[in-house]
Amino acid sequence: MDKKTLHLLIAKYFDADTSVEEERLLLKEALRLEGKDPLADEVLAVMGYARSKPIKSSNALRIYPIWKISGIAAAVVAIGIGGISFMSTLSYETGNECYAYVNGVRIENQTDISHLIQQQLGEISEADENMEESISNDLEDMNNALNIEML
Amino acid sequence: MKKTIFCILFIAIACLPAIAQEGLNVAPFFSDSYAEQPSVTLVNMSYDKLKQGGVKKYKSISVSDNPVLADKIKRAVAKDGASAESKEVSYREGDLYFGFYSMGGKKTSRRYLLYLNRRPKGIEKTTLIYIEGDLDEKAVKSMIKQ
Repeated sequence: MDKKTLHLLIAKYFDADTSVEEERLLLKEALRLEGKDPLADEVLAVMGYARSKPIKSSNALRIYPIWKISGIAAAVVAIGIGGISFMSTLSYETGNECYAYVNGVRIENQTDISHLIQQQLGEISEADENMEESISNDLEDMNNALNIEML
Repeated sequence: MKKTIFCILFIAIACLPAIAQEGLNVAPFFSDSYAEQPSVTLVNMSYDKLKQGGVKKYKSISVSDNPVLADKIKRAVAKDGASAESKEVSYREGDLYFGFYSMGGKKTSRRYLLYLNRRPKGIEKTTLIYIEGDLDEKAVKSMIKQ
């Protein structure tokens, strides 16, 4: 077996995708290259057949690339955040809800709540119209200034 | 190992919508913790299915005569506004007066913030509205003008 094929088989072993036959073949080939190939030494150490040698950290990273470790760490963090957010969402938002509080008093009458919403949107609408009017006035002023320039 | 990583990533991606919903700085102001404060009006409407007009969630907080809370809301709006997809804002006397922010989202989870600070007009009242649903900016503006 060539080195490239052996390395592929080692990667498959660390992904827990090898069959029993493949593991036997891997062991045989790795023992053949013991001391000559760092990756073979690594897999032998994991399989429990290596001689006692210090393992270099760079070899460990070759087996578990940085992107894999980063991906796992990011996924764990994302699950943690997502889980907490999801649970907090469940605690106060379950299905349909319609209520309001005015000065500490809870209101559940839909008509009263609709009036409140209309009032709020009315205020926003007024401000939005004021802004549009302001923009319109500014553009008119600029237009007048341009016309004077051109004259 | 590959299957484990795949499962973890799949679960993480599935949780992303939940994260996105609560990712706004203004989110805490719509919680019931402000409900019992005097001069605060809080409205909370949310539906499993889209209501007429495409609204899935409507939340608002209106604060009168509480400049401390109003300023907190303003700062949170400014932070969220910085990451808005689009915005229309107006300042008066150096203060944020009005803001219409499109916060992104897809399909039924498009989010908008509407902010009004009437202090420059001599009225100590601040209103913040959060709308989520299947509606574009034009639809939200139509809703405002109704």
